[in-house]
Amino acid sequence: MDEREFTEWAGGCERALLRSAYLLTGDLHRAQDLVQEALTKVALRWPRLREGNPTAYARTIIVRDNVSWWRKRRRESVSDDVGRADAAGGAVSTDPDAALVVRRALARLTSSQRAVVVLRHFDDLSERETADALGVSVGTVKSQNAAALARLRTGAPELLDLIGRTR
Amino acid sequence: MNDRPDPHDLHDLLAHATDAIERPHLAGTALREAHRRRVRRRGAAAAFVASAAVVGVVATTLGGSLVADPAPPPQGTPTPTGTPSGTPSPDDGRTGPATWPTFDPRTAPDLPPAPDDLAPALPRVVDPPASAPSVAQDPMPAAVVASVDRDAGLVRLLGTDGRWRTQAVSQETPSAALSPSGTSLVVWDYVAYDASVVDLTTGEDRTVPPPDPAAVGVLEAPNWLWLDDETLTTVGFDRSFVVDADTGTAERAPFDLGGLSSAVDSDGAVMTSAQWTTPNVLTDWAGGEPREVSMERTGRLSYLAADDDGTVAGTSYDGRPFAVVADRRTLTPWALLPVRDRGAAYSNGGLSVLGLAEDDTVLLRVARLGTGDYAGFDVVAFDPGTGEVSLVSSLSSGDAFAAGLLREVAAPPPPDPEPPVADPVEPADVQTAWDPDDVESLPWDDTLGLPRDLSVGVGAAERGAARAVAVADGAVSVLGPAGWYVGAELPDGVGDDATVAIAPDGSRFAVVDGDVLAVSTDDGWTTLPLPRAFSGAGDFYTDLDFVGTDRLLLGEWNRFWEIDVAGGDAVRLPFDVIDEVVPAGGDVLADRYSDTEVNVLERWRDGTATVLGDLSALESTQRPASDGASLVTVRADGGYYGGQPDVTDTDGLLALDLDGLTVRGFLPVPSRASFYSDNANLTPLGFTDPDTVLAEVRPAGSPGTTWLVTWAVGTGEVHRVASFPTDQPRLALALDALGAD
Repeated sequence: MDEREFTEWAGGCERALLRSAYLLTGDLHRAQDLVQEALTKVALRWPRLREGNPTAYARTIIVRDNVSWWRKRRRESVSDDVGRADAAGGAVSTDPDAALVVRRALARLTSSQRAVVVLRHFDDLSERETADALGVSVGTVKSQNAAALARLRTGAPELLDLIGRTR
Repeated sequence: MNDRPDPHDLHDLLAHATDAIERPHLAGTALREAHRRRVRRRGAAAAFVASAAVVGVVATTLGGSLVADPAPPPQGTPTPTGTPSGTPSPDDGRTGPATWPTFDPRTAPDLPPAPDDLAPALPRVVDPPASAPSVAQDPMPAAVVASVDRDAGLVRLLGTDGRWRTQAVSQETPSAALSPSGTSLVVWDYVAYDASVVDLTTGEDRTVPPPDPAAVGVLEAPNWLWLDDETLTTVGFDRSFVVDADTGTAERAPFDLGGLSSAVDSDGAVMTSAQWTTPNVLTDWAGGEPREVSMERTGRLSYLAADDDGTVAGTSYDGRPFAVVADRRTLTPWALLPVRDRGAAYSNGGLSVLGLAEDDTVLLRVARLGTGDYAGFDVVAFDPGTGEVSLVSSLSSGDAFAAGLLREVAAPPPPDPEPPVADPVEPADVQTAWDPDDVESLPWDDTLGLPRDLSVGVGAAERGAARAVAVADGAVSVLGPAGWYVGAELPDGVGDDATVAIAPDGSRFAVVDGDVLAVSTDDGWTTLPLPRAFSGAGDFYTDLDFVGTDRLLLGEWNRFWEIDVAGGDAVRLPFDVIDEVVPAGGDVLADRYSDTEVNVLERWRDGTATVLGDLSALESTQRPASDGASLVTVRADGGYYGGQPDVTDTDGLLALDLDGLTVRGFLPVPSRASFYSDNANLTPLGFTDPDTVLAEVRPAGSPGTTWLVTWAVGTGEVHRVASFPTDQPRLALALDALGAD
């Protein structure tokens, strides 16, 4: 494979992928694990992906691996991700207070809802692209998105306050 | 449903909340890890592996490599390599090879076992028996190891079926090699110019004549090795030949196997490292044309293994002894395993590279050094990606391996199939909405055999098949075909606040109250021990249901047990405080949900919980009931954002097929302030037949009366069945007994 080409591609997208993975997980270390695994899987398929959309492929790997991890974890034990991540504080944002509000708000969502919110509202994917990434129907994306926003509206009003919304 | 309100506002906030996250620079690590995994993903392919003759067993091949000369001893006094270096040097794949902690070959027998998926055909202990049937008598599917017993004139072969066979040989000093997939054996003698080939799958053998008759008696007799399962090659004449193993037809090889060490990859391509007396290059014939690569960075590789995916492994004794893994194209090393080499024993044949597994794990052959002689050997795995060394197999003897079998990495067990994800309720699923305030206008359904007035009585009707039970006036009242009768006085310690349950077929009932759990018998009660963790405190609501007829499901707010009625054994179920846990035929279902977790449906069966699927898209599901084939639940709408709700944005009764979690039907039951959903005024009780749900409802306009209604899942028809005062003792219904005469 052309390692230089791969390295150039990865360098161009890995920060965005890491930020997206962090929003999905609320845990910077696990986000790095997810991104590294996704880049590895892209590298394994680079000759076939390089002419296509390797970034979309990497994003799909990240969200699906995260769901798989989450499902596995919930059968084992539940830990306080929010509390643990809160300790990481300003490592992720120049505005730790805003970061804390976002992290806590996203933690109120189911993992599926959270994935839809991140893909639609941070990565700016279309409903179809989001559905493809998550392996679900467009209808599911619509309903999960609506349910997520409703839950944020009622359960995390401070989030909407931050973006100046009146409801 | 509705679209997002203002994506860029939320986008900006999410971006702002992560603006200090920096680029992680993970590309180098990803490349290295991908390199390690690449071959595993391409599936099994037979391959030769490089291997080496143990000193003193000259010209014996191990798979697909020949070593013309043993490696020269290290220069000067052997230098111990010191203590392990702890962590590898650069790990980012950009600045140099990872140098892992020093491996002391003497520790090989004590290493942790290698992963089971590595070389699965090779047993963890190989020890040939004294006797075994001959291949001719008992052909074998393939052999993984061949062990030459010169004294007995035998080659002992370990089959992939785990059994040993023998092949008698006529050569005085036989050497042997197995074909890559282990289906054929070639045996030769260092003083003879022909060879014997045995088809191990049939036991047939034949002689392959000398490939170059002119060389017989003039040049040194050749050694033989397999290019693939049908093709041999020779080394030892002044030129190499490719020989058809079946016909003996020979032609000049397009490569030259003369060198320090040779290897054949899984595509049959040959490479040779140069002798000590010639320039330090490796010649690679992959692609047909020889390509010379300097071995300056790897050191001269005295044992070789190669795969067709661009990896080379070998041992090198330039300066310090190493096992080296390098890029085949450039021989740029990417992993080094320093080897402790006291007395130069390992650099003199005690350590060699046996092959490369499909996942680039290096298989090392490590001699067990006894008192002046080799006492068997170990096959050790070296993972160049992690530096881990582990023990694959311990062999008392073994001279040739089926390279393709050694190379195999067992496919990992298939992952659990992803459980289905329920799609949201679609408009096509939505039936005509029903308003419980209109219950008195519904047609009656009397087919269930229940009186329209289901007020609990303490009567003296003739006993008969039980259809319902309730606790009243110190007894369990039973509803039979002729009306209410006293089924049994409550056992000692049980009061009118007890929770009562009835088996689905009405054959028995049970009560729990405080620290007493009792099940009815023909002549009274039998008490069962309560789980020690059961509090029985009045602060907690107690659930009691039958699972089938012979088990009970006991629950309090955050704990659930399955209790065997016959023996009283209790099993704590792995469900938690917010889970809704209900019987489902002979199983138990749990609808697991919280603010931060997916709404997941799990089934408890035979002591194991299995995820049936994700119900999140259905939004909130409440108070499920199931017959084991379908699920019915109150679906509470999760809300919508802006705009107008569509027909699916409502509460109601929802039925799902458990196989695939497809929606069978949705009966909207609109309510204000979640009266029927969150306030629990609508509760499905279960299925009276596969297509009919029995539910309990308290109309918003007249909540003092509770109604039983049936919902035909397929058509959406609703019928009323019975009513009773809401404040009367709780009824438990024997759903399978309803409708029976």
